[in-house]
Amino acid sequence: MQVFTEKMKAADLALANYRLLYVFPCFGLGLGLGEMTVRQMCERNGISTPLFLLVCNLYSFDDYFPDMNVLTQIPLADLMLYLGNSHRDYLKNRIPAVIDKVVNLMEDCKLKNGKILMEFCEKYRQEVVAHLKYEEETVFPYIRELLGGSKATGYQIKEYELNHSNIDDALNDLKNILIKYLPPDCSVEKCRNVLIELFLFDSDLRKHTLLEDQILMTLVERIEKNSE
Amino acid sequence: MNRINKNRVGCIEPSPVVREGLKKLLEENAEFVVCSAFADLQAFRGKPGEKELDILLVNPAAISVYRQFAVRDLFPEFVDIPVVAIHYGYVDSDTLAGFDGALSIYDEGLKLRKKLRQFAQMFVRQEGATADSVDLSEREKTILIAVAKGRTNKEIAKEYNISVHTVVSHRKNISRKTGINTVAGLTVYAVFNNIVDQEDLL
Repeated sequence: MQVFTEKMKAADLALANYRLLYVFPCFGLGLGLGEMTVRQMCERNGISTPLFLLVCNLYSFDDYFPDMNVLTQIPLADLMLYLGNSHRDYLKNRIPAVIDKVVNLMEDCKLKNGKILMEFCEKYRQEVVAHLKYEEETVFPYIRELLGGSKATGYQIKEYELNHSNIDDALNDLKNILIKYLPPDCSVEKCRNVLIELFLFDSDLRKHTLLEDQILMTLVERIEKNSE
Repeated sequence: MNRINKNRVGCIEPSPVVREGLKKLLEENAEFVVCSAFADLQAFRGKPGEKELDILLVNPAAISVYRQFAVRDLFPEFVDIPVVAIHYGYVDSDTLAGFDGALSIYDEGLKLRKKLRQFAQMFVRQEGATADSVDLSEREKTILIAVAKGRTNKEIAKEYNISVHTVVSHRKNISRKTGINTVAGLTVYAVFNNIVDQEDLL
């Protein structure tokens, strides 16, 4: 299977999969990549090359999953940093972008029931906030403690799985509502703007979940096992 | 996407080497877990907990003595999950036709998992396709209104004098027909389709 490697040009990764344009900033990377290889770019910016490649490959190839050799090279602290950055990106950029476009859509089609859709969006935003807060305030500190070698409280990473509320469902509902149940006089262009934004966000969120549920979990479970 | 649960795989395969090999390859990325693996149908039948599976893998050779039965009839308790054949080489097409898909033991781990994922998805879709029309029944609309107003299943059951189980099954049908799962989403649906007035929700 063809995957991205450290010798490739960083720019070629973004050219091959434009959705990585959402990934780069979460590593603190800008563009203007020139002819730098992935490895050069990572070293210059103090980023773990294996982590960067892992994320890019996961985001780009549906069948990709790292083997243990790759996993053991992933610095957990850096992974959490990346996850935290993308959380902030979701709250600051991605979700507002969706909501702005919903507002824009409703202005146009004189939706007398528009308010209910706004309430839906707002409720969704709050759910995401609560979920990310849980990760930042409970899960990540626990992992940092674990990395620091202290035998942490009664918390175990398994609880994380149970607590992982299903924020995909709401996005899926919104797609269904917009495609199936919007009054026909709504502007199809504006509706499309919302939907494209939604589909992009949804597929990123799925990869993000994969990173958390499978990569982060696997690494933490290994440490938990070793510290017992 | 089901993000919480791994796909639980059951396996009926005579060879311990193949059983272990499948387990190792399938569990490589935490998407699947092989939670019961048995050499033959008898051993499989006798085990409790077997009903919680999402996919069942069966070597046709392990059930060849029951050749006169359709594969589906051998596993009446698994009507709602895919039964997939594991084969080592040539298996005649009549035999394979009874299964919902087939895996070769010569497939690589990645391919095995990809195929299994596809079988699982296809199976769900087929089931959905046979479902009745998308229009909600009057009863379902009544339940939908109550859900939109924020009533719990228990409250709805009491109000309409039906069991909680019935409420749950109505709600499942509503979600299947509309493609909408969250209460907030169902509320939007109900308002957009004039099933409930926005003013009534406040």
